Amino acid sequence: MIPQIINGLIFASILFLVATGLTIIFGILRVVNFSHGSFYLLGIYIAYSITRFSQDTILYLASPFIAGALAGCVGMAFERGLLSRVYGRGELFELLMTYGMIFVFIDVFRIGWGTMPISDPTITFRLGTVSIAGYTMPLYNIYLIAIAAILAVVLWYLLFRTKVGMIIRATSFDKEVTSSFGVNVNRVYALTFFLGCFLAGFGGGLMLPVTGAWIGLDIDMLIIGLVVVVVGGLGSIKGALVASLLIGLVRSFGISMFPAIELAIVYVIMIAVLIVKPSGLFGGVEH
Amino acid sequence: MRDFRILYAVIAILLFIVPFVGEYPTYLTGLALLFGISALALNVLLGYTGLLSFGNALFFGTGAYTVGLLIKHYDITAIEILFPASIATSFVVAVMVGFICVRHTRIYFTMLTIALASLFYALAHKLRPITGGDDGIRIYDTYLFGKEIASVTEFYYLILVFFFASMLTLRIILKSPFGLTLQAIRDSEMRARFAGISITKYRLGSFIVSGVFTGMAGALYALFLGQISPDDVLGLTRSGELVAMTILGGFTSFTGPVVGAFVFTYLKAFVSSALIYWYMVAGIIIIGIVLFVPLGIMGEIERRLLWRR
Repeated sequence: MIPQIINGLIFASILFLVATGLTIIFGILRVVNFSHGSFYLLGIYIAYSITRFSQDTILYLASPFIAGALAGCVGMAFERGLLSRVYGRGELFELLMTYGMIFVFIDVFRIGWGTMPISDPTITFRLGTVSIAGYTMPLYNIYLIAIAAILAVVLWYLLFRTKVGMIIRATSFDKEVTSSFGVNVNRVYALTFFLGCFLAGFGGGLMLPVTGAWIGLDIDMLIIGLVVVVVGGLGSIKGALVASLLIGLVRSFGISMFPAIELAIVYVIMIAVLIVKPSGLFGGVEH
Repeated sequence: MRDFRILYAVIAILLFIVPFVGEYPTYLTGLALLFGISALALNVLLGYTGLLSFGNALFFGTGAYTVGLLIKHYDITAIEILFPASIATSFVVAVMVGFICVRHTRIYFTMLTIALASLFYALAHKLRPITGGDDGIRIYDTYLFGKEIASVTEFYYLILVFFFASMLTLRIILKSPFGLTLQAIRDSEMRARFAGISITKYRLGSFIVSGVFTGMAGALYALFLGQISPDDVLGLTRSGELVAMTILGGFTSFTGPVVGAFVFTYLKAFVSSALIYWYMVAGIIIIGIVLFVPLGIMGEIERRLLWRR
């Protein structure tokens, strides 16, 4: 039981980071960022490059933060430079633009990091192992879950207890009224995109020692992130949290019990949720 | 109108003589025709109903896998059985999936189509004993009314017949009261609702039309290529390619998606033979279309023609 739960929580942590980024961006910009999985993958590749510089433990532990910040900057540049040009033309074009970015990223990855899968589990060996209820597991796994939980709390604080968070939430509620109060909505958009891509890149950086990266992971991550967001309710952070725990744990138990159809179970849950509650678990947004 | 008829006739003749040019152009044109029908079917949803499906590979794959599985497990090699069978399976899948999807619109619809297509992708990928997993299925020795169909040219003419039949049928469907109602719903859901139209029923109808035609194209694709795999026929990139073709050609025009499919297929073949970064080029093309030519090739041409008059 314990190993499945830990693995499920690891998966849930990453899903939470990715899905929250997707859902925040959707909440503010009303755009589903199809290139979100690519930002996740970018985070892994950047963390990999950082840890090539030096084998320092601190640098290893800091690499997800740097990777997240860089991915966030790339995301912000993309939003300002390209995506903002098609606002108001309908979601078809916004979606297509983020979809097109997936392909640009694929070749950027191939040029920058080659076509072979990469991985670097050094830090898991360095941190050693820990015993929980008789099961030995890498301490890094516990660290990963803890840091994701801390980040969730920080995010909650940022959005619900600070002025910036209030402005972000106000923008998501009503863009026109917020801008009439003197808020520069474009800056909120850029900041939101930074935050969303930071979360994706950060999640990616954390996963470098666990799974590594390969081209194709971007689309896998995008799809599972979309499933989490759909189950949780589009635009709901609480929904993203609950749905990522649900799907993370289901998938982890699924892998150990029905390896052939673990992914199918996840989709079946999604379909079941949608038939019972079409707007997702916590979605009360208008359709 | 008359000059358009002449143009269509010239294109039809050109399509007819392609096999005399060589095998590779025939192969490419065959692919373009199949993707053309798939993009046209996608546009029934996108252009005429206002629903963006990013999961139409589901139907493409259903058609292709119907052919593959029937050959692999039941040794059915008669195209006259395989083809109607794929129509039947894509119809059933479209009804089931449509039932879940059409209750939603806009982005919710799009995300659901992705997720449901991914479900089928995951099944095809993981149920190795049945589907062959990511190795896929090889398809060979197929017969049409007792005659073996093997060469590219034979398949090409089969596809060409299917292409003209589908163009005609879709044209009739979209000009029919059913098609016009779809457009009315697209333009104003509220108004259509007040007129007493059952929106969900019409959207489901549109979904089924889209699914069945895409399924037929998928079945022919499997026969034409002789090899299918989950990534090729069911993946997100296949769905996305169909969307990209539709936008490239122009979703506001009936013939746009076919033009887009031709341009995309030929461009892909030429670019990938010249340099290894086809993905980058494809991404830039998609972004460029969105930024500079949102109406697509045909949409832009039609707009200019209208301006001139």
